[in-house]
Amino acid sequence: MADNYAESDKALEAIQKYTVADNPSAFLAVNSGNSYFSSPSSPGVIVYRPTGRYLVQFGGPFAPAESRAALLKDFVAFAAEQDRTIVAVQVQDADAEPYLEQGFTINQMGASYAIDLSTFSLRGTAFMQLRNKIARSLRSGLEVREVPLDDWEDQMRALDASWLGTKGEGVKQLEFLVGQYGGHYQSMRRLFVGILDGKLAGYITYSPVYGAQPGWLHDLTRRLPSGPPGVMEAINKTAIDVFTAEGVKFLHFGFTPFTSLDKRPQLPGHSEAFHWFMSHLWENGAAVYPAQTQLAYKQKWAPGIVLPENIAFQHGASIPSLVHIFRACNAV
Amino acid sequence: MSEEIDAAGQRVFEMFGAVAAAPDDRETGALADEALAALDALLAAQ
Repeated sequence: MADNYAESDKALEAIQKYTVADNPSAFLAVNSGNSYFSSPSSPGVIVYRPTGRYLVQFGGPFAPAESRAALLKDFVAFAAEQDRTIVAVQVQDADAEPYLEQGFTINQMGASYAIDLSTFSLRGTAFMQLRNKIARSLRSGLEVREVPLDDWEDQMRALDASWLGTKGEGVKQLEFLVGQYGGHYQSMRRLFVGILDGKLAGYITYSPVYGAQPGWLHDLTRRLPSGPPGVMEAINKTAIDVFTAEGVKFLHFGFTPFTSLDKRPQLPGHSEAFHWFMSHLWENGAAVYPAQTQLAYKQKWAPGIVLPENIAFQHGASIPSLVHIFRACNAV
Repeated sequence: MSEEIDAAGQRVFEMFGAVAAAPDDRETGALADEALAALDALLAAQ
């Protein structure tokens, strides 16, 4: 049984040790369903999913700075052996160099967001609406607690099924770029639940973040559709209070595609058409992914840290490459 | 030019949907990337 986790344990070690790129979502590397590439000649790990004729890579190489290019080169050779094309998602700006050197085209695909807990406060007019929403949910009788998974897993799975049912017929549970709970790595996550009349009204899981902005990643969230407004906000505020008291430095809100596309100049060699298309999906792509709705929640917390997140195309910007990221996520 | 760009962009959006419906179809994929290249050419000519 231990051998089943040998590869993902190695990936975990890599994301903890090789934080060159400071990928705030790196913990998704240990999601079940991921495949791992490593090379006998280079330390580190590449996380990916074989998807159709593509290898969809998560993040950049989790490797020492001086080895990333060699590991990527070996991964390129590995893909060629299978006649597959690489597309990498959630590539950080600090990951870009080895990709550019090897002829990849890199475009910004969205951004991730974070707050500095050492300076964070909900005081002031800007947060009045949020404070009021949280207060209303608590007045409704909502109780928020940090809990172990075991006591709540059944209710969480039922809530997940109920939530998925509201998304329409045939809509599948997303994978790959979203968190998981349970399983081998659950002890490394934290879980906060909202309880109303003794029953689960919502939950948020938090995953560890390593590197220069360490802390927790606001990961999976679900709430009862019929619950009062403010459940998520109340849960997250409680978690923020707990983390702050512990001296945790940062709370990350993770990646949202199609967002914050013009915060910094695009990388050299990028595709203008793909950049246009990402902007178009921000404006008109709610059916593809509800980016505006997701960002609206994150912006309630006024995240002062915005980190560009990129897509790297092996053979130039490509629509099928983009589609295969969605396919790896079980979204198509 | 702006209308041409919008039309070309709409074509890319449509082809994105077509590829999503048939991700293993190489011909549809190639047409989608042709649409992306056409949009690139219009943007470069601006």
